[in-house]
Amino acid sequence: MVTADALGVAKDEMAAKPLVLYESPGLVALASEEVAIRAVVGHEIDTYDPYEREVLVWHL
Amino acid sequence: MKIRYDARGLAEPDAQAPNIAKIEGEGPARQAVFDAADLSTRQINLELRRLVYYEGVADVTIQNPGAKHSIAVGILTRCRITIEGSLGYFGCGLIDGPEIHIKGRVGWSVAENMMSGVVVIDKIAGSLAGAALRGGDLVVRGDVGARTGIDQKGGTIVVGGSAGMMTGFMLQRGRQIICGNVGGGLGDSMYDGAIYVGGKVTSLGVDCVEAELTPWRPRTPGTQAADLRLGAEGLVPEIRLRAEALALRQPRAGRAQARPVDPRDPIHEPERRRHQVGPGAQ
Repeated sequence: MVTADALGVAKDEMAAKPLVLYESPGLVALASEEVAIRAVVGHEIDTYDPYEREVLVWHL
Repeated sequence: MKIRYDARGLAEPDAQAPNIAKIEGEGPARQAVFDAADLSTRQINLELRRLVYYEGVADVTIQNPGAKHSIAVGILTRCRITIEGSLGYFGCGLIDGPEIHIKGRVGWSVAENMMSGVVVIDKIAGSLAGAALRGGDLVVRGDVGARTGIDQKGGTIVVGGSAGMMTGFMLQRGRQIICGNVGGGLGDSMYDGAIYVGGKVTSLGVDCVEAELTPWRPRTPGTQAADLRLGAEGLVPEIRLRAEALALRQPRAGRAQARPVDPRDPIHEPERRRHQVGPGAQ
């Protein structure tokens, strides 16, 4: 979910949908697979997968 | 990179091994290394197969795997593979024999259907790690996602961090050692096998019962080397979980009948309610 000044994501309660998250000081990237994030970032990264029912929101 | 598919949907039907690996050393100690940054999945796997099957190199290092999917799958020989980076989905699946060290993280379904061998992951793993594992050891130093070892039929899964929900779902045989916490529905619908948890368990699934951890004792002296090696006693997990289903479905001699499931049993009740559908579902 994206609004003018915030980005939010919720992981489904059965953890059935893939979600990969990359966070750095200047960038937050979410995708269903890590290759998609790497295509944008262009350098070695560490990502992680939120657990079921996790809700994360970033504000500008 | 443009990937071509044939009429059956197979990717890159005429891909060739790129032949770019540098091989050093002599005889059985030869080591090979190649950079996968500009290679497709098919090319990486073809190059790996060329090295271990046709060149007879037993130690291969893959650089810059770039989280691509389905890398190092279907390797059916003993060899050592080092992956310097992260893998996407289905990494190291369908293997029988290799010892694989992944220095990054992995996506979903790592080492699925492994028959034998060792897979060690330095960082985290996504969901379904060790799905349908048949044998061998899968070690994840970090956390794992949901449904770790779903349908596991053998082998050992060791997790240094925490695990998500439905860990050991439909576990049929083998063991899991989770050093951290585990999510809800642990061991749901498991038939047999054992799950050792060092941290907290959110909730047990259907058919999963908590058992007392007893000191390890060989049933027949000298035949339980695997248990001794893992140190079931020395690791001191707080609880041992075992499938009640085994006792229910395989009544032993001298036992008149299997103990029926009490529908009011708190272990079964919440799950039953959750799966209920149609009129009256909550």
